[in-house]
Amino acid sequence: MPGPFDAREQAVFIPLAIGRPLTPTGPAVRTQALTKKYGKTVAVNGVSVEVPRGGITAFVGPNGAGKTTTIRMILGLAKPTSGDAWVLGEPIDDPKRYLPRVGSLIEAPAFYPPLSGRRNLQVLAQLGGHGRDRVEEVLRLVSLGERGDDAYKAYSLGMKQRLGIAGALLADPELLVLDEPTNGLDPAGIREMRELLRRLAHSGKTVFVSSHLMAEVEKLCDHVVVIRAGQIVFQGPLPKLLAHQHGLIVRAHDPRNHARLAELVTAAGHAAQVQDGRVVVEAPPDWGGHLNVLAMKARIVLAEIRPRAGDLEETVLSMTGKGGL
Amino acid sequence: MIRAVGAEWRKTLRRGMIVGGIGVMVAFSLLAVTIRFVNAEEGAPPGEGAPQARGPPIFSREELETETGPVLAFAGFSGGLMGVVSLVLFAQSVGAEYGWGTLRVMLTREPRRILFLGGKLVAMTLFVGLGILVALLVQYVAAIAFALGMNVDMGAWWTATGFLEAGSAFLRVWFTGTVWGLFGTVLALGFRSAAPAIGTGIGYALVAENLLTLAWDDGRKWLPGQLLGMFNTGVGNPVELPIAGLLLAAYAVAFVVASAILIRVRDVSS
Repeated sequence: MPGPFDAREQAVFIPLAIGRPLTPTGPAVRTQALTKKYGKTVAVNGVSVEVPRGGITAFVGPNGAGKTTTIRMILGLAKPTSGDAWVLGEPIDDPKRYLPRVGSLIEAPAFYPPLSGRRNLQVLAQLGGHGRDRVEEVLRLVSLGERGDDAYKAYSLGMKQRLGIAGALLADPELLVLDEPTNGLDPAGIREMRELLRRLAHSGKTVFVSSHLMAEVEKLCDHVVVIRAGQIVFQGPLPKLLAHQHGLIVRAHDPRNHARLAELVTAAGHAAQVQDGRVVVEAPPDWGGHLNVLAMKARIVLAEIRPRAGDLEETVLSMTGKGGL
Repeated sequence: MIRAVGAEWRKTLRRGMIVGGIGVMVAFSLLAVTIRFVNAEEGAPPGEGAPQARGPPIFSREELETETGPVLAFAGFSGGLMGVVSLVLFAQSVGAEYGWGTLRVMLTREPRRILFLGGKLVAMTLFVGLGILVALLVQYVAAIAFALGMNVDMGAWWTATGFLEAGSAFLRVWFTGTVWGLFGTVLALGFRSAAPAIGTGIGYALVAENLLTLAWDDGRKWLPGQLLGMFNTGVGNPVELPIAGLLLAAYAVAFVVASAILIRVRDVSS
């Protein structure tokens, strides 16, 4: 799969098809019409994504949208049916050129159950050519130093997840690719993970993280990529995504009035639908006053009326459709 | 490659593998030497023993006093069982990488897949060699104990020829164990799982190939299980031993090439 450039030439300006140079400070990950088919099933369909260097980029979408398949292709575990991709400036058909600088945690953490956490990391460290000191460093970093000699099979889900993060950090990577890193973590663990990822991003590393927890994504990420049914529906800075959709969320004091409220809004020329115990109105936020008057005239008492913008979960759900994240 | 071998060795050398692998080899070895000595009678024919209507065959007591005496059971009965153990160990080692999902983690640390597989195969071959060596030494000790108890003359055992026979038996069993292991590897890679690979491998070795030889007269000259059994015992019949060795080496190369293709070409989806 020849790329449009020779990685050895990255230091010089190389024009790309999308009109941006790929230099050592260019995108950490770039895919171009990346497609993966399994028989007749198209898992990833012409995905073109850029993950900027530095900062935290979230990769969100419903189950089965193609997130993990895309990540597998980026990590050299699955071959694309068509399309190209580059990671840290290197083409993905030669993973040995970039994987030593990439740390990853794909789906659930996977280690050898009979071995201790420490021994598991030592196996990975030996394979990747990292020193023993690094094993101790990353164990401390994820607060597993004292439990490092326990068998992996005896670890809780949260401890397994932390060991997975430790494994991803072994190489002191430039790019960290994490698939659901907060799975199994308790609230304190999630907060620790958030702090850790922020520290890593502030130190100049790139974090590319898939997550179902929109609240976490909202707190953590600078950049968002949204995928649905194998296709990218949005990519860009988080504020741009939040501004992407406007509208109002309205809740009547008596939920039985929601249908009537939706009819009033529709009659006034705006789309509305009853959704999850509230009415979602497609109207500018400043239309809220008019809506209040309409409701009053119809003798409907409103319990809540607020702008829809700013709700990442709502925004992403509206882009990706039903099925959950 | 050294890093891949070292990493594999580090995870292989654990209690479960030592007890389940080397321990079973030692147990088979002890079983074989016990059967050989306990059922030895003067005047019985040499070789694989004279079958009886009931119970184990009767073995030649005179043969125990030759240079090959302490390793007769090792190269024959227990050697075959060690091949099966080796098949299980290799298949388990490869199949578990899929079952535990660790293959994807390992390949993100060592993306050169063939090198990773090579490291695994070298480490497993060394581990099986270690197990076979321990089993041989234990069999030697047991043979000495039996010989002392049964007044078997051990004079020929301690000659240069005796030690050469022991070394040769070790190398033959190690070689055949490795070929069985490579067979287990290709099955585990094919199935992407340990259990069906082990079931298929043992089923082929113990049942399918024997049925094939009933239907195909020349099967004993070509089928890997037949050649492996023959090579173990060091008796070149019906194929000369060097020819059998070459055929087995060809099988080994074929298994390695098939394994390399399977791991290189296929996506890692587990």
